Amino acid sequence: MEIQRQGRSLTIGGIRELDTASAKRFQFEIYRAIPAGLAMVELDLAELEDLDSVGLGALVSLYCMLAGQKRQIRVRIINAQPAVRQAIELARLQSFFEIVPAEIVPAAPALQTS
Amino acid sequence: MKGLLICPEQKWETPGLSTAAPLSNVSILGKRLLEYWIEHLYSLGAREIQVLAADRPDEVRAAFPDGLRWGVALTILHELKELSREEVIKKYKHEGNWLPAPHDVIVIDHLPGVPMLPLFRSYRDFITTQLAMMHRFSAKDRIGLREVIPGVWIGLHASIAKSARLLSPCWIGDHVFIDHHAVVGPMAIIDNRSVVEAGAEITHSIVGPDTLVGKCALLADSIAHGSTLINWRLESWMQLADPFFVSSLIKENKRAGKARSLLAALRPQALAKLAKLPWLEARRESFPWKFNGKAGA
Repeated sequence: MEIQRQGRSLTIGGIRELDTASAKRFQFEIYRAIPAGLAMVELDLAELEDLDSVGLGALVSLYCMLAGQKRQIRVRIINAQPAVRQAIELARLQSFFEIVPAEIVPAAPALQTS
Repeated sequence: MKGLLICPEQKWETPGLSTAAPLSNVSILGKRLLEYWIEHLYSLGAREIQVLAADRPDEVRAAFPDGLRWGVALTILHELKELSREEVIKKYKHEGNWLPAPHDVIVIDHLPGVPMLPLFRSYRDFITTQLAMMHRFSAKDRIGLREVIPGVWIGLHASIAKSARLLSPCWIGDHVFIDHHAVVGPMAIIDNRSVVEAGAEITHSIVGPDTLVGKCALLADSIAHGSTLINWRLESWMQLADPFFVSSLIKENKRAGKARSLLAALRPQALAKLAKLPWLEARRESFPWKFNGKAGA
């Protein structure tokens, strides 16, 4: 998993699996990398191959921690494969996350400002 | 008269459809594809039908062990690959009274009477054909299937909660259970023995036979068959690793079957033990019916 910080945003990529075996480590690494004053977290799921219910649970947990309460950090999912998008939609999680298909990933203004 | 049916092999365009079963066994509006064709050939006068299966012939044979149900002699033959019509005619059509061409040898990659609607060219074709044929196949030869409101068909022994919403057009097969506040349709097909749990929403989708759609799941533009989930609009598919929102019910049925057979095996022993209980022995004389193989007093 690769975590890159750009100003007030955090991009997390290189996620190959998000399942029972890897969900805890995924959550732990992200929680550890979150700095103060963060505005957005981008999850690049281009390489994601394995996703199960525990993985979806980890995404929900991440959302609750980042976007819930008073923190209000935006969580964006980019480059998700169609199958991954389908799993997210099946669980009705598309209303929580901002899901951007691979072909239209705009550079968010918040990303460029430091 | 004789007829020969060629079962399609796995198609690279639609790999998700053949994960659970060979394409000839795929359920279409409550019936397997091969069943439609056997009935069709029977109606044309065929009494001897050969089926060429390249993909999982054992499963085809298990699903269609003989043709007694249709009154035909059915033989399942194994081929290493899907042969073309010409190859089959050369290899198999030597003697005997065959159906007139083109009904003598048929590749079953579509439903009878609609060759212009292929089933396995794409997932979109698969769902479009079924939605188009919903009205035609629902109108005849289905015991118990009824159109409750225009465009909504419900099969035999289907159980639908009062608070569930059925939006036309939709087709619900036999022994389907739809729980409270579920929304089915428009453009939805729920095949036989499937379960839609409370709050689930199914639109522009097909739920295959023996499939569970879990609570509050949203199934849109999809084909769910067991643990296989296909998005026909995006032409993508996946195998769900664990049974959380969509899963197969067949495993559960097998377990239930095992439990039933175990109970059946234990019953004589349990009854024999019960027969030796003193309180039962005391009351035994009052039983008017037979008990433990002996008549009551």
